[in-house]
Amino acid sequence: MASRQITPGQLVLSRNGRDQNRYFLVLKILDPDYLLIADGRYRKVDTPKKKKVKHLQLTELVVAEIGEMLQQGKTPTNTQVDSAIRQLLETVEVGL
Amino acid sequence: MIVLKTARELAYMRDAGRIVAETLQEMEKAAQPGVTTAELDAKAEDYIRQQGAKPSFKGYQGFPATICSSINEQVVHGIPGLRKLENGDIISIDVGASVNDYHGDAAITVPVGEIDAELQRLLDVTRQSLYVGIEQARIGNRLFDISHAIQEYVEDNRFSVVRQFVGHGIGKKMHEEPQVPNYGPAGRGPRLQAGMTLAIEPMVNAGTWEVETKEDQWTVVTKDMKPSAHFEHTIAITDDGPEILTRTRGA
Repeated sequence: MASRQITPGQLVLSRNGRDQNRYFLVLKILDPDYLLIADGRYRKVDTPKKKKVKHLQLTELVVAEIGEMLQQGKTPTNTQVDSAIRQLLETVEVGL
Repeated sequence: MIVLKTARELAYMRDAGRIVAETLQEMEKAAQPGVTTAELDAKAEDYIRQQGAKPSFKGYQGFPATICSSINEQVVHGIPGLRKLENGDIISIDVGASVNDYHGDAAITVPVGEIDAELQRLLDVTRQSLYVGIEQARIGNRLFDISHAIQEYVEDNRFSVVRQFVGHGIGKKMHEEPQVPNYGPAGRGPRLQAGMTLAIEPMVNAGTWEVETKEDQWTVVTKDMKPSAHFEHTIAITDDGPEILTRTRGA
């Protein structure tokens, strides 16, 4: 069974927990089971949420600029993350 | 962390792999026009349990069945149901089983009845790309040598490789580190060592590489609705080269 590729900058939807039904971007992949996620609003980039992959719905959308920043070791700002998520949600119908 | 397996762990995985390969052999025989994917699923589950193994997929992150059955434009993770196979379809069947909690995972795409020549070429190229990838699974090579070889072979044959879904490490968990993409630059990624066990699984599309997930949150289809094929083996990296764990006895 193929594994869904997870990359920094990918849009995910929380399915369980206090943050249920909120969208986040992946900041870091800790291991196959845990990610660090932030939305720049509810969860800021300097205090990202450690979240179990199985408590998330992964989408196929990746914010390329933010993904590249993260891969170069740079941290995006809260505003960048927040507006990237809003832009994605406004412009595309999110396929889950 | 990439888990290196001991000889005993590899023995369990060899058992699981053999049962998976035998199940796929049964599936290949059974995939005839008029058969439903739910019937295939039931047959696979019966076979795996008769062998004293457990289906790995059933309940995995909520997946409801023993096999993934993906027809034509469906790429992977199709849920078995009442759809009947028709002459001219291709069906990808993905099976996982565990023995003493160690998993084997493999997939084949088979023709249903008579298929046209270009579809047959898609199956042949996808199958061959898997073996081209496995050939790179040698001590001292890097992980992306596998990925790159698959991508190059597929694209040379004018098909495309899926990006959003990838192969994976496998062992006591079905999905372990590392991710094994079917594309990427050669000479990159972790160095391959004896005891690593990987599920290598090219998913190859006749048209665009882009895919999307349907409302059931499992079934992945090609964005342009052109057909897709999928072949997979679980392999171990050994001092003597790659060992295919998902094979029948004597194969």
